[in-house]
Amino acid sequence: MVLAERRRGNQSISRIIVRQTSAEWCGHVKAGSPLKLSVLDLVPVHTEQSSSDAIAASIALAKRADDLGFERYWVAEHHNMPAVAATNPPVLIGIIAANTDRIRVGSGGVMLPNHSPLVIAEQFAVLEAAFPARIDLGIGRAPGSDPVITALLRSSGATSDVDEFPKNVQDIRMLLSPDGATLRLGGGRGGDSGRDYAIKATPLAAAASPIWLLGSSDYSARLAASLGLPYVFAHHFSGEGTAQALALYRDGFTPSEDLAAPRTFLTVNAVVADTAEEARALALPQLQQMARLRSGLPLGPQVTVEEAAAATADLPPALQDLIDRMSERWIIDAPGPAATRIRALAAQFGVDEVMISPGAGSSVPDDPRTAPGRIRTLELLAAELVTIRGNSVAGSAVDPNVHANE
Amino acid sequence: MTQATTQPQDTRKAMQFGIFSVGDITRNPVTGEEPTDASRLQDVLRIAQHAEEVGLDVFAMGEHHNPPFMPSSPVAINSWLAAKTERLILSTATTLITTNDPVRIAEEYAMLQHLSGGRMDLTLGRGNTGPVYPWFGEDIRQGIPLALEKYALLRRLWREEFVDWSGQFRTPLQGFQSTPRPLDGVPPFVWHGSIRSPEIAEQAAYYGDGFFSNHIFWPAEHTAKMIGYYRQRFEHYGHGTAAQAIVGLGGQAFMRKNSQDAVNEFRPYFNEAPVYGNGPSLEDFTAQTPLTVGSPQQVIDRTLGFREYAGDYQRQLWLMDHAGLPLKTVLEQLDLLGGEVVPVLRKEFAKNRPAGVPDAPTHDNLKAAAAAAALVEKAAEKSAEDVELMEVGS
Repeated sequence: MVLAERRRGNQSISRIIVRQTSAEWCGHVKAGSPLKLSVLDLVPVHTEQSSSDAIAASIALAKRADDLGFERYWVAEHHNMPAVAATNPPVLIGIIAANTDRIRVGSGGVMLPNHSPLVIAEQFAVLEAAFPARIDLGIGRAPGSDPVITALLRSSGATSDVDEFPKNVQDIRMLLSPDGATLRLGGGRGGDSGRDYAIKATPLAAAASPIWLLGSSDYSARLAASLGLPYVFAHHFSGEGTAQALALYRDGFTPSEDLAAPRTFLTVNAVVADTAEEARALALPQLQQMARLRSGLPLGPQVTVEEAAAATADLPPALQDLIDRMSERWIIDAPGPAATRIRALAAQFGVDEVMISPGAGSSVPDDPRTAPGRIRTLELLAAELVTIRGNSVAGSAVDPNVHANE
Repeated sequence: MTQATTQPQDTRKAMQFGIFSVGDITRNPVTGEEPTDASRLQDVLRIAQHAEEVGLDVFAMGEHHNPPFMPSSPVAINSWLAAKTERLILSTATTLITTNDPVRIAEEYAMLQHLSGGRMDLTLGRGNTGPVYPWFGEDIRQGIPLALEKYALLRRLWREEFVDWSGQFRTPLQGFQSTPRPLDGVPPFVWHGSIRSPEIAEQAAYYGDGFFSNHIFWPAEHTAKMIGYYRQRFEHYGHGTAAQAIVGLGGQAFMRKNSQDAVNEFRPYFNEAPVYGNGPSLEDFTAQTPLTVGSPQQVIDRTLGFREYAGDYQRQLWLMDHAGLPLKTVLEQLDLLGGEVVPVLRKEFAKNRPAGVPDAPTHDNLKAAAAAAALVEKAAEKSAEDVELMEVGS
């Protein structure tokens, strides 16, 4: 061993150790504990669908995820996008939770600067009361839209409450807690200390839904660490900056009443089919849509698989280049290799849960009220990665406040 | 041949038990007394000496460069303790491999090795306080590469007489000789401490060094995963079987004869402790982490349970003196630990311990192992010479 070290030089030993770890740790984690899978749904709308169809398709997808043993199902918040029907997470969460039995349902995420903290707290208090221990409140800081939409969403005009974000997160946390919050009214003049005004998001909460902070920059990693909240980095956006954000989060983590140790998972875009070739065809509509979005081109509803294939020949080289680069980061593959990559990613970032954003498009002959491509992705990944837990019913009765120990 | 009655006391032990201190300066939440740097340092020194008095094997001193922690130089503290103790092994918890110069670590700890007659080792850690790194010209985002490169150099400084070296994080060395050379030519034993980074487990396995998991903030399944990985990789790199890897664990306890008394007495300290104070409840924390607050028997039972997920291991250290606990209380805790807990643990851990599991590392062990290895090498050379002679003769 000593001889080998001398011949190798210091930097290459470092490289060997890092490379060996990423090659071996994943197999170890796989052997040691099953990976949990979750779903992120933007409720895509394609050319053959109405919004009604798209929501029906998402309900079908959520039901399948529930049956397959997925951990949680989150819906996003986007405004005024022609291909995205997830505009309003709390409403969608209510619909999905009512149509499923055990899966956790949440927001990925509520864009808090667009909303009054009390309204969000009230909405999630209702959801938690209706579906105890099944609701997650994921909160993001992005406006999720343009200034016009912001102006229309906020009664106060085009300024969103980005600067108030940390305070608003804490407010929601207090408002949701069974004890509620206290507001100090008046006071400040002539020694009058004012009077306390008690506020609760709901009259008698049994428990509060866990709050997750979501982000794509260092800011929310730091905030989640200092508040002792669970945190999710949007790895699926670009695949960059994840290690740095997670290191900031884990290193700076201060335990809170809700959480004793850092808690996070990874998000990935995935299209899985029986063959890699089929997966590539299914991924094209969403890839083309994303490339248009990134390039600032006009957007329409998502095209079908057939339309996407036909469009490929006429794509500008810049767009094709963008699609090629995105395809490398997405997981677009047959079940075996896809599962291996997901396990490796989980190992690389030290997580035991991966949230899949299933990006398969639909075909012209498909029933518009379901999503066979996205359902297939979940089925194939579940077969490779999910160990069905025998006590899922008992599991759903666990107090959400002990999720630190899950 | 006569029995070796003149031999000094047997330093070999299957397991070493001891304490580690982070040297936090925390106001006593019950009396309101606030320790000073001076008083806390004196308390730590007293506590370490008492560890030897009650029959513990190891004292490990933390290294911190930011309030509320006092001990910036564990090597200085351990050197003083070396002169004041006779049997205690002086270790660290941890020595910061990321922000120290590996040349200084090599020099200072080799010096301590001589001063203590080999009664020392060290646990390397990265440190998880972001702001500390730039004070020493480093960046926490480079934590893993720093730990890997600096340790690769540290190893060579102790094993090679003259070192030529260049790397990313330090000025190059040309024919540099680190002094003093290690005692008896045996480099100090190194534990690699990590609570969550598989790269550090891989590093420990790669070199065949020890792996220390201070799992006081973590649930058992996480620790099990890390240790299992280290053991498996230790075997992969050819240092022995997985069961022969060298494992140390952290722990945390507060004891009174009557367990409810322990809970009542410890709760105010727990509630205001640095790191986890003002956070989870004592009940949640004891359920989710190895913290045990109760009777000595409860601490015994909990600690014996560690073996179920860590395997047979070599070193158990507890954190006993933090959160503003007064000196008198800490000394009483050590009395219970040395008097009631550890003797039972030694006996119980010895039961069913497979024969191949190595004893805890000591200077004498390592010296004997090095001598044995030299003999084997010599024998191999000799037989090679014999073969040559035969060939010449034939």
